[in-house]
Amino acid sequence: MAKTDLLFYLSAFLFCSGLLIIFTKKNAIMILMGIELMLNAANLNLVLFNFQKTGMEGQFFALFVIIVAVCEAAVGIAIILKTYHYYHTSAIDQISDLKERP
Amino acid sequence: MTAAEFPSSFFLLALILLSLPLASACFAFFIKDKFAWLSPVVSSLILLITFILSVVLFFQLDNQSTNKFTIDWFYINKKSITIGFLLDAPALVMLAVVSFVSLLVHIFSAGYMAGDRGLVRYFGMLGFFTFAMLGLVMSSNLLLTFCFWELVGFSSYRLIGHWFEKLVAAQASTKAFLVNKVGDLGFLIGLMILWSISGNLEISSLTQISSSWLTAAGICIFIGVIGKSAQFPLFNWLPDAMEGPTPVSALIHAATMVAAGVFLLVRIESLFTPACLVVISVIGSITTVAGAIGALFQFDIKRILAYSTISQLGFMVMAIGSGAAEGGYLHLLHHAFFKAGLFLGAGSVIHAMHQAQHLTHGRMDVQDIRNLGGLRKKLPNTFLGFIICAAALAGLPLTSGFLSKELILTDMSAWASSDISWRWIVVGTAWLVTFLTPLYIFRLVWFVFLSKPKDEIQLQEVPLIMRIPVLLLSIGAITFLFAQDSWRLTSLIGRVLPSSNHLDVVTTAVSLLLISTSLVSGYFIYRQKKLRQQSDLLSPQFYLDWANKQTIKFTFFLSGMAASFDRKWIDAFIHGVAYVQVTLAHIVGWSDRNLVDGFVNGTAYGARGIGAMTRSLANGKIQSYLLWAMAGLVIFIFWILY
Amino acid sequence: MSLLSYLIFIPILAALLAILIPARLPNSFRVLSLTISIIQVIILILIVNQYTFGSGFQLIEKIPWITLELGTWGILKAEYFVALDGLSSPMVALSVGIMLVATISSWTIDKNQKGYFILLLILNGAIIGSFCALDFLLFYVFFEFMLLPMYFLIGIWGGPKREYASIKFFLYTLLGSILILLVFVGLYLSVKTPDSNEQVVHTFNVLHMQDSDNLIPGSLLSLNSDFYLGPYSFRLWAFLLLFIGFIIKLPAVPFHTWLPDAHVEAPTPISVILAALLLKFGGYGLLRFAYPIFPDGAIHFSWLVGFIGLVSIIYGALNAMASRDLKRLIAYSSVSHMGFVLLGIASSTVEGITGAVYQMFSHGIISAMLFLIAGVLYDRTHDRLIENYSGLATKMKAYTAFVLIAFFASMGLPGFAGFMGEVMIFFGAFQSQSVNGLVPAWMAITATLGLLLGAAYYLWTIQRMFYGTYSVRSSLMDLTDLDRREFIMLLPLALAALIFGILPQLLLNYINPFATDFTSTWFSFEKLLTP
Repeated sequence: MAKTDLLFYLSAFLFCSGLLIIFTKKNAIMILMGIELMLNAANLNLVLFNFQKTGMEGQFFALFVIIVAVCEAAVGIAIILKTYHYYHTSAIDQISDLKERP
Repeated sequence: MTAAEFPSSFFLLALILLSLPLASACFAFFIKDKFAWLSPVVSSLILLITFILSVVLFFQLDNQSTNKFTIDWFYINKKSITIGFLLDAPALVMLAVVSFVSLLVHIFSAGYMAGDRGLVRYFGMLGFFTFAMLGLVMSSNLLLTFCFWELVGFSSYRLIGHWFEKLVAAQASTKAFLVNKVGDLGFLIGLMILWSISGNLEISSLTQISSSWLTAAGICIFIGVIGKSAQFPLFNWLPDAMEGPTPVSALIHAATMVAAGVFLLVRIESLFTPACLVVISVIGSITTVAGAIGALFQFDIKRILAYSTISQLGFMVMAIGSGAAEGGYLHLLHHAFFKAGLFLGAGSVIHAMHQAQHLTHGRMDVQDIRNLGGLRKKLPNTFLGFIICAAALAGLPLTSGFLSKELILTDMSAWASSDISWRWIVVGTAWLVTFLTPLYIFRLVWFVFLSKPKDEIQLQEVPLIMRIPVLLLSIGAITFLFAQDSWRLTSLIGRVLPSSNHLDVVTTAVSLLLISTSLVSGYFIYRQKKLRQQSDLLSPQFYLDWANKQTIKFTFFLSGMAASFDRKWIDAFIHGVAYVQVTLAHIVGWSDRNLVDGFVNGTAYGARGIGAMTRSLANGKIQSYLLWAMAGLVIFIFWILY
Repeated sequence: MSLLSYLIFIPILAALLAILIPARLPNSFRVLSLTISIIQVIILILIVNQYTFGSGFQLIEKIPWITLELGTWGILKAEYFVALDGLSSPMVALSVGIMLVATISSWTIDKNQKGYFILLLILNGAIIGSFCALDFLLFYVFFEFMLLPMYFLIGIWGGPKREYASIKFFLYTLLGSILILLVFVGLYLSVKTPDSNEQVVHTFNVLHMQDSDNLIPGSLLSLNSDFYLGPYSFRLWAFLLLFIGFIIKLPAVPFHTWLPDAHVEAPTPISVILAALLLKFGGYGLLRFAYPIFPDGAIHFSWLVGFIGLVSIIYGALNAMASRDLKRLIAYSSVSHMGFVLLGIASSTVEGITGAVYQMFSHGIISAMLFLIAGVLYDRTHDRLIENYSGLATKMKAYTAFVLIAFFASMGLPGFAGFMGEVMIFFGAFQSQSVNGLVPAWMAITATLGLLLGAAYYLWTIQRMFYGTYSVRSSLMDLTDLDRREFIMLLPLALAALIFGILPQLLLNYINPFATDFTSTWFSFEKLLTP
């Protein structure tokens, strides 16, 4: 049990690192990477929790997530590249065209 | 309606008599300036008719009975105030005298005022005055008497100020009216007292009143007489009133208006209590001496006559107060003739001198007796009339003045004879005035007519219409022509009065002695003497004028005080209140802006702050949204778990 | 509708009509106003024809106006109640006459005629309305309706200091109105109609207020009320408040300072209306409301009333003497003359009351004339300082004649209406001491000084302005004499002053029954002295 416990901690660590990256990083690509980290943490959790029961739903669900994450990453990177093209930056704070002017 | 007492045709006659002069005044009001020359003619004709009517009334009525006709004027407090005519013997004689003198003055004025710009106005006012004076004489009710009393004062005011462009004349008219008004107030208070004690102001019913207030009422009405008849201490307006045209002085300020006071005294004689009579006789004696002394030291021919009028009026008033009412009244009638004659004579002199000056462009004061002299030869007719009237004034035998003066002196001696008392002082003043009167009138006649001429100016005798009135008046001043017996006390004018024939030989002798002494000493004093300007202090007017000035000053002081009180206190108080209010309003306004508005603004400010705060959460930063969402989620989870 | 209502509402309707007329037709307003005034004169003649001499009210019109159920508070009842008696009929006649003269005098108004004449017409109706109203609420409505047009007429068409004057006028009179309103609320709470059964009907009817039987026992202003404030009961206070409220209008010293300012600044016709009509509300109010409703207060304070009257007489005259401005002088002379009214009222004798009403009437005529005269001069030179004129009598003969008539009428020369009123007041005030002991005799005696001072300031003015050599500072050309219009407006006033001075019975026929009733029934001692 102690082995899986350790893995739970790892998953939590990964999730928190991803969250922290999302909160702190200004670059959209970095944020995307943070999201990937969080997704991976969730995948790890899905797999680990599957050990505690019969069946393979966890593994399948993880696979499903990986596929969705790939799509998400592809779309995200595309948007980021497009905005970079338009704004010449990928820092999200500076892209504020929709914000009201103070 | 007491028509039964008074045959209505006579009432009608009296009414016509009264309204004719008023018609004359109205005529002057409507006439165009182009026809100004008509005015003297018409007015004189109207006055002639008036005079004839008054004579008719005089002879038609039974002289000894009281004839009264009244109608109700108005009601107040369920009492009626009546107006009407009370034509007893004194009134009828007075009526004839007033209309006669007025007629002569009208005729004289036609010559004297010829060419004056205000001719129409002059004759209009003259007519109005005659109306008021006749009304005053005939009136049966004291309130009506008071009305006419004021109206004669008004016409006197207008006539003194006839030449209103001269400041002196304007001032004199104002002064005359105001001083008269002081007396009138006394009269009014007297009427108030009478009304409150009897509720009736009929002259004929005054005898029935008896009350402790009666003395007060009598004295108050006498104050009115003091004003109108120029008694001490209200006589100083009369010398100033000489600024008016001379015929006016003759009519108003010698013969009629000033005599109205004395007439009133005679008319309401029954009203006066003994205490009141004392006041009357004392005031009268002070006036008569003051007037006589004043006349001795004047230089203006008209002012001398004015003082003489004061003195004579005082003499009459004193007589009425001292039990010689009959004599006083007789003297009033006589005085009307000889004093009007003197004034018209003086008017002739002034007129003649003015005409002469007009030719030579002289600039001297023609009324100053120091500039006159030797007019006896140049104005013989005027001199004749003047000297007769002067003799009557001095009280020489065979003149009317002698008769009335004797009557007064005799009665007064009888009044005082009982024992030694203050009454002897009054009688003494009467004798003193008997001595002084010939002296000052001799002085006047000497310097104007008898002394050597001062300078050779060509004088012409005045026109006929001015000579005739003077001569007619002087005829009236001679008594022996008409009296059955010149040593008996009857005269044409006074024959209707119940004359007392108790001539006292001693009195006559003493008064004759006094008069002759006076004339002789006058001759020796003034024969060689040059007249010099004397100090003002000798004129009694000086003191009264001083008192007047102080009163006026005091009044002005008071009015200034009142004005500044109004401004500095009442208005300042109002302003202060307004100021306090405005200040309060400012304070409220400030607090409104800063406290109330501050609170409102504060809430708005606070709301905005909170809004800004919450808005700062929605700062468009995706990460912060996430952070808050996360935080919210964490809090939510913890809240659920624990 | 009775004739009275026509008299009141015709001008008000005409004012509404005038709103429709475009402002660019100034003459139409003048003609309209004049027509209305002439119609009013005709109505007045009809009224005089209908009026029978005698006591009591006539031409009564009574229409329920407001009836409000207040539950436990009873019923509020106000009526449209107008009528004439011996007090109001001379005042109404005076109003109609003066409004006609004022309209003629307004011919020269050259600024915003539309507004001016509309306000004038409203003023006209309101003045007559308040003289006729016998319901306190109705009176108060008309009374306030009168002040507002007056404020604007002074404030817009006045002289250089018009704002100050009009505000002063308004504040003073507003203060008076408020005091009157206070009492009137108290009265409303304390008076019921005689026919009210279980439910109390509060009424504003003045005739009911005058009858002490209608006072609700134990109420604020009942006869033996327990309500005290300081030394006086509420009834006495109520009298004092009413008294002050009305002597502000009169005006009496020390509440008079609005008058000179308002007069000096107001245009001539407004001065005329102010002096001839508005001042009369002081005396009218005392005689109609304060005295009959609070006879106990009147008796208690009679000394004060008389004394204020006396002070006004002397003080007003002294101030007039000190005035350098002709209009100011006339204004102060009004204070002095209205003091006589107060003295007459204070005496509460038949003569005094008759004289007071007579004096109000005669002062209406004479003061109107005086202000017109001042206006004539002001129209020519725009200068009212007495010292800038001299010798006017030489150039303006007809004018001088009218000035002499007006001045001598005002100083009480017999033969003019002013004398009659003053003499009656003197008779009444003097005998008060022996008849009812309200006013001491010395007041009447001292008051005669007012006549002397009056003569002094008028004669002095004549001497300064009309006598002497001709000179006018502000005009190099000779001043023209009266023109036809001025003659027409002055002549009727002069004739009226003369006629009512010679034939006082014309007016006394109306006043006598009123004065007798006033002193005998409303003012009887027995009713008050028995608890």
